Amino acid sequence: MTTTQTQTIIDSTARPRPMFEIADLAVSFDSAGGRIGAVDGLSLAIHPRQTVALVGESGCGKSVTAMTVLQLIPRPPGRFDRGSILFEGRDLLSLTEKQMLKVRGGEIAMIFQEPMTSLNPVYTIGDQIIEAVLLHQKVSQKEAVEIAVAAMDDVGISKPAQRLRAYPHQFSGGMRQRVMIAMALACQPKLLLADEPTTALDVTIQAQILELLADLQRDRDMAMMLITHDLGVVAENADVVCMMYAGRVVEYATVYDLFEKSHHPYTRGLFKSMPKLGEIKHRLTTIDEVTNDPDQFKKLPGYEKGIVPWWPAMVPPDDLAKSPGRADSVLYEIEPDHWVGCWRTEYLEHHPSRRPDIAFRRDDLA
Amino acid sequence: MWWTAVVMTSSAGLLIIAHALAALNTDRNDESGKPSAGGATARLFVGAMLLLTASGLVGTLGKPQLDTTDYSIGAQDHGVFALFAPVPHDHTKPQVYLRNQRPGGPYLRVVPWGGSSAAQDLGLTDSRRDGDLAVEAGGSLTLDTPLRALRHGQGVRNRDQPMADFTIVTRSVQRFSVSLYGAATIGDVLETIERTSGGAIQAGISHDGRRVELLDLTAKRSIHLLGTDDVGSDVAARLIHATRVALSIGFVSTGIAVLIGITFGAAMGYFGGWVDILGMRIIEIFMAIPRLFLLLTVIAFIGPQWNQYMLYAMMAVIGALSWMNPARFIRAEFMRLRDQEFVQSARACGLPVRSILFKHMLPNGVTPVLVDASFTVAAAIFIETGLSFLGLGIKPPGSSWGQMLSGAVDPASGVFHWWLAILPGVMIFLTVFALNLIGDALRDSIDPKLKPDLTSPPRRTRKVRVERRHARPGGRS
Ligand SMILES: Nc1ncnc2c1ncn2[C@@H]1O[C@H](COP(=O)(O)OP(=O)(O)OP(=O)(O)O)[C@@H](O)[C@H]1O
Ligand SMILES: [Mg+2]
Repeated sequence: MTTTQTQTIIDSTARPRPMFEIADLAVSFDSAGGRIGAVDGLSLAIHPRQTVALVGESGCGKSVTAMTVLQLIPRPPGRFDRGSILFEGRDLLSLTEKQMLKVRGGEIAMIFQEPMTSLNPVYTIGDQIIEAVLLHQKVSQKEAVEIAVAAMDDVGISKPAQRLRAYPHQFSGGMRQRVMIAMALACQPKLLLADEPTTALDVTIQAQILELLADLQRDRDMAMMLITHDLGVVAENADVVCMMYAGRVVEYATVYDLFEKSHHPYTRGLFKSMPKLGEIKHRLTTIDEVTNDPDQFKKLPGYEKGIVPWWPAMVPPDDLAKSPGRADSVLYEIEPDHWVGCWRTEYLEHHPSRRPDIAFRRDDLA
Repeated sequence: MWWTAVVMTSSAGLLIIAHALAALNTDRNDESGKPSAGGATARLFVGAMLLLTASGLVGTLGKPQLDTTDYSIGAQDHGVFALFAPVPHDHTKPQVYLRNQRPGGPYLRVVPWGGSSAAQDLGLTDSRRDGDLAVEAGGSLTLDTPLRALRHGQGVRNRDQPMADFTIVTRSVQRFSVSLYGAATIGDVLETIERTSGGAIQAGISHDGRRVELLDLTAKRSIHLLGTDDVGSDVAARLIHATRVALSIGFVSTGIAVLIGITFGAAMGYFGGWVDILGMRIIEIFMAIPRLFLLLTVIAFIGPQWNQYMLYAMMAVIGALSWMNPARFIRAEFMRLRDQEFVQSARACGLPVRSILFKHMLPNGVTPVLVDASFTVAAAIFIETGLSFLGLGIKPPGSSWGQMLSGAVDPASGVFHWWLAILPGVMIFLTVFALNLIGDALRDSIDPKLKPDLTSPPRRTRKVRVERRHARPGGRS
């Protein structure tokens, strides 16, 4: 106890505090066959202007994480089992629905996965942006219209004043996605949760939109949680990557560290399964080929002591710590600013590392 | 209160008109140049429907004017009743209106025409059984107890105090004051009336010896577009009045049903869980109540003295037992919409539940209810028509299509007058048809895909393009 306390004190003096921090989050859903954990023991931290990418295969709990931040998970069947979500010192999970109304859209905005259906078909674009603006900012109707026009202009929609009167079906998917972004940004949020903002779009528009988001981020000091399963997007846009698998974080590092020296077999398998420019291969390696190889799990420094990468398909190590009500995995800082999801062995139980928190921003390097 | 009913009906009317106009506008602004399917006929029938609605609503918006309106004599300051209920409408009989100037005085009622239930309403059956004389104006003015007392020589308290003061108003807007004194006999009454009217009114005893009939000699002859019925009422006037009854029952009860249904269904669909389970059980309970039988029970409990409230009772009962379908439609729609991204995104924007439910989800999920509502209105009208046909719903002097249908067969001679049956039938058909068209128009007015594109003003674009084409070469070189 005392060690962790002193540690945090040291941390707070040495490092900038993150504006947003998820600690040991666990969310589960009731289903016919019992409770299903969608997210278990997820931790991450986001600093202002930073982009943290939440990466992982479909169904690993990325959207659930984002929705939990805004308490948008239907409860029941959903349930918050553990953890806290700190935003500027407040625990979002403990806020009432009424308090959440102020946070949603105003301080934390979210862009949803589906641009085609994320706008209400019966109202004009303008109505929808203006409603959001009026809700969170103390402005007159006229000023709200101006803000909406400016927001549409910001996201690169031409003739914004006229387009305000258009209905969503008169827009293309890319334009709708821009409108969604305009809507999310109209209220100047401090944190943007972008749930696969570009999945439905072609590469050109995708690049445009991500560039746009990066620009806006720079202009407004906005932090962003970018959810995607496109590693290309991650490589281009993320500062820090949080790699997820089956509701857990398997690896957490800066984008450079992750791409250059990944430690978890799943991450390695993922990179091996991708074609590389200039490399001639008869056949690409599959992820399974990597994760099914027991040797891959022995490569972590300190394997003998009990630092074994967590993997659900693997037989757990013998010295698993008894930890009722907690995840059987734990994030361990294998080297500075690089975490790997490991089995919660007795050794790791007694040698905890600090929670994932990287203040790195690639723009700062330049 | 009567004024809430007025506000409700008139706003419902205005809403319909507004939406119909919006729908018509859509037709007109259609840029594609294709004539929208059935646009003209739809307009025609929507127009016809509006006419019917208007004819039903005219009387509800103001008090009937005694002197000028043809068929609205006698519907005096009834407050509530002036809205929907008994407005007499006999055209044939010279119209005379008698008003008791002393509200606390002897019992005096105006009966527009001599139906048996109206007589019952006024206690006429009693006097008939006794063989007493009742007085009717325009065929049906009843003086109940005091006349009986007169005949038996009772009730004479003070011979110098008038027992009743009447004003007689004729069609030609002449007014006469008549006073009846305690000692008067029937003969005295007739004579007094004739004398005070200066010959404008002829008073006599009907051939069966039961009524006093007053004939307005100054009255103009009326035109009866669709003829008259067995008691001489103008059929066209009664059809219009029956429209008012039918439409108010249809719209008010459907309004009640849709309001309850939307609120209930929205909560069930959006919150799900135990709210939904509980709601569904309540719906099942209500579905198990037979509407017609509950109505019959309620009607049985409404005594003759509450006959004027019959219409409201029917509206309430039909409304309270018709909300289950709208509720189930809205529930299903809201369950579908709840998980849609735009609802999630509305929540993520921090909109309160009220706004999400009724502003964002409702317009997207209301279509099935609108389609169903036109059927609900029709069903309510059918129920009222059926009950009235059986003599249980709207009773004379109120008029209703069902009642008119049943009147097509002369009970005395058994002769079937086919036109009296066809006219209400045609009205029912037209109304239901028009309602369906209005339902369609309402639905279309919500669908944004049918709205004109407001972002690009159509006609100017061509001009601008031409100008640009001219401007370009110069600009390039
Ligand atoms: N309302 C819900 N009820 C039950 N289970 C749910 C619910 N929402 C999500 N889940 C479950 O939680 C898990 C994580 O889902 P989530 O939507 O977060 O995936 P994701 O990582 O966003 O995937 P994708 O990349 O396809 O969007 C899934 O297994 C899903 O079945
Ligand atoms: Mg998702």
